[in-house]
Amino acid sequence: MMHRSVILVVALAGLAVSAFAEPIVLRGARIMTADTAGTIEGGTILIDKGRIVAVGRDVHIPAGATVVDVAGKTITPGFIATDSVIGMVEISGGSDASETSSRIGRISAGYDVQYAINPFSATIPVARKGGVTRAIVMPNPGADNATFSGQAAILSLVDGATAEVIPQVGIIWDMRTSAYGRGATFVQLRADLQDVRRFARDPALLAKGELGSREWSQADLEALVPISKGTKPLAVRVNRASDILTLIDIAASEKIRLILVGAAEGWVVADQIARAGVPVVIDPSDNLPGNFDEIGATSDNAAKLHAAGVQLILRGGSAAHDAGKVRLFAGLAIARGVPTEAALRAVTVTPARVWGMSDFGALAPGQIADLAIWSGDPFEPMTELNALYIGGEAQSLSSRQDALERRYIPAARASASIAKPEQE
Amino acid sequence: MIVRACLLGVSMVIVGWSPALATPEDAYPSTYSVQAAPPTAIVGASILTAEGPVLQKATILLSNGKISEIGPGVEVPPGTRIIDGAGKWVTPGIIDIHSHLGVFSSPGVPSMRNGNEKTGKNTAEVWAEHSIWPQDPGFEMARRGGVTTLAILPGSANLFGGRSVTIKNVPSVSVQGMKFPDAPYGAKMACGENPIVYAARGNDPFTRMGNMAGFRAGFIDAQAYLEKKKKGESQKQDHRLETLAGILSGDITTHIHCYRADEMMQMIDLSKEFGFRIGAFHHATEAYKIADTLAEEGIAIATWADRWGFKLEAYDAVPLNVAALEWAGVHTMLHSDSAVLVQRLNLEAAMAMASAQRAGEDISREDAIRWITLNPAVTLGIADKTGSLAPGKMADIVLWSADPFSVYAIAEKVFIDGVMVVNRDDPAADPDSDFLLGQPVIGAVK
Repeated sequence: MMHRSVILVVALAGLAVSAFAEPIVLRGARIMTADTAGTIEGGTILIDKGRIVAVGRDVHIPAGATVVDVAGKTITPGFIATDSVIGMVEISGGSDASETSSRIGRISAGYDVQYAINPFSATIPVARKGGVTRAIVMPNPGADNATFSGQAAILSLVDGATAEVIPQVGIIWDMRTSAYGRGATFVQLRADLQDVRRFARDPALLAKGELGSREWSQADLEALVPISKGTKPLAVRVNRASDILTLIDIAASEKIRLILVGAAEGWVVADQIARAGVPVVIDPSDNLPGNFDEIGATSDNAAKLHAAGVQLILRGGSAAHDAGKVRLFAGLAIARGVPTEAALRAVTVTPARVWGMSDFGALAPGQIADLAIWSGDPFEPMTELNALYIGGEAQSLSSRQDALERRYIPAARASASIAKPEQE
Repeated sequence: MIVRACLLGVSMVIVGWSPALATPEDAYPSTYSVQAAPPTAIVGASILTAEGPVLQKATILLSNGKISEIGPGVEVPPGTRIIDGAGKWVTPGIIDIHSHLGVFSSPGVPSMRNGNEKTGKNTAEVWAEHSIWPQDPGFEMARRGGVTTLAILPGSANLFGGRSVTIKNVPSVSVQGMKFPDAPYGAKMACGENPIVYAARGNDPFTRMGNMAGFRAGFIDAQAYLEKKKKGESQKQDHRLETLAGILSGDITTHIHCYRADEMMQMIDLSKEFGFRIGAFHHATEAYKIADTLAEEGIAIATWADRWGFKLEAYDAVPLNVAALEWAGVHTMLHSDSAVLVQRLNLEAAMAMASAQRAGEDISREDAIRWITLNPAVTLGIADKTGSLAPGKMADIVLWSADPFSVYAIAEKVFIDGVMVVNRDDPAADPDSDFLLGQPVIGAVK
């Protein structure tokens, strides 16, 4: 068992260099596609030029392709960690190595996480070891009680000096109920959206001082224009059922694309969420009444939302450091009644599509080859990640933690020397 | 305890330390009593006893709150309630040695932040049990994760945080009704960042050297107090010094919050300077760097599978920490320190096992289950009563739907002293906290 996976890792590490030179064939695996093909037993994936060309049981293997036997393995799309601050935070507690939000009130909606991301963060290789290939990086609430927290980005966890970021994929809005009060914050949101719409028609209104819902910066208004037009989503952190209904109502009348994040009491209004077609991001371990907005928090939330037909995204593992645990949170959801296929989609294709990305997230022809090769069930803690591809390239699975283990723990040194004899 | 402390010299205690023999406090005594329950047999399950090899297709018999028989060939007496365990797993009830349930309760409103007496560097006089809110819904969620016993610790804001208490995870109106009968007390200490960060402005400690100075000053006072007690000289009772003297005399187990290897080494020297025993380092994310020393010193470690990076002193945490300690022969435990993680300590153990497997040296289920059952029972001084499955021990057990190291395993039935406190077949009958009882939102959708 150990021996076989080592061989696979070595084989794939050798492929990284030549990934774009010739097609790669991964043959004989259980393939969980997160697509209409469902799960394919004994399937083959053909990768060329960083994209998936074919997936199935009878894939034509072109001449010159490098064929890797992955019989007994399971292949999934690379996982997507939603609502992470990975790349923005090196250590969380009380330090300058953490930026998760705007520190000035004047830039709120316009706050752009792409500039805060450090591609050399030690958190990124750790997340890769959990099979994560992309993260939806979302800012936290910023200074001066701003309700708009800023613009999210999709970070590719590719190994390298340059952060591969798809910036400005949507905006986060936080209710700020303790600063505003519910009776004010929703009123303010509607007024803000009115201003943005007027600004979109006539940007000169800002200079004329005719946008009065708040003291606007141009950056904030410009960032919000795609939200007001419904071309990018507005993600809202919300837990209470009544607030969810209010937001659904506002989204319908203002014609904005809403994403609910948190939604601890989502199950209570699951039918309304499903009817409105609003996707929901939930943490399946969120089952405690942490405050009076989530008295109804329950481990059954994910299963009930799914049963009602809600588009589900699963998140889990707070902060940057636990992004690689998202697969276990998907497992927890399955344990509590979410079908395996739905849980898989909830950490792969669904977040990609909800944030406007059509060319990754599933194992299907034409998709970017982001995929993870596992020793078994990808949601089980005892399962090992054997290889991870992003854009068709095998990624390093070595982290700073591995280096520490090799320095101090004899068994780690021993296994490293077996796995990579050429480097020791 | 007071009497015992008078009789024991500090140097004797180092040799003869044995928390299980400590006498309970007279004040605030446990009122826990075992409720009646029908004799019960779980038949045909895979049983992890935490004492030996897994028993396949075995039967465990519970009667009068105790485990009466266990093994493959146990005969079930007539009149016994029989639970089919085929395809399922039985383990001892999980023990979390580092919990703040009830002292940092849900909902986390400001008035319920009762775990840190942040008024000074030395608040050894406070007792966590006096903060515990038995209606914290976190207790029932932990029960549903198979947790039957918890050590509730005060927080880590100060050098000496106060006394911890061991409780049974039973529904109760009072904390006295949860207190584990005759369990020794513990005391919480904290080194590193927290005492510095939380120190009120202008107060000490301001630095790590200030931390050490504070520990030493506290123990010097306690030595004098203990000395007087031993001589039988009269002095005003001082609860702060009672706790510290209890540490020095060995009646109170030390639970020391400490992340970094170098700081654990400082604390080991501190323990030698004042002749007390370190029960366990908690969190200890760098324990792997000094695994051999910890083994030699006989110091236990309670940590997570792989939490890391939430502050600088946790930056060097590695997933192989637990395995490295186990391999070095350290008495190793997994703890939660969290109302969420406490619900899946079995998966923490699985993650630590997985790290060992990745390094090519598997750790067995039989060994891993001890991290969350027998090992914490030993450190808490209650291993003669619970923590493993053996005849005569408390019937604190969990019936899992599957291999407990699988993400899909659900604690289907949980027994505390033979009483079924969780039953997934009839969840409506599970005891709820008063807080969640009758909340309209919970009954909103069936």
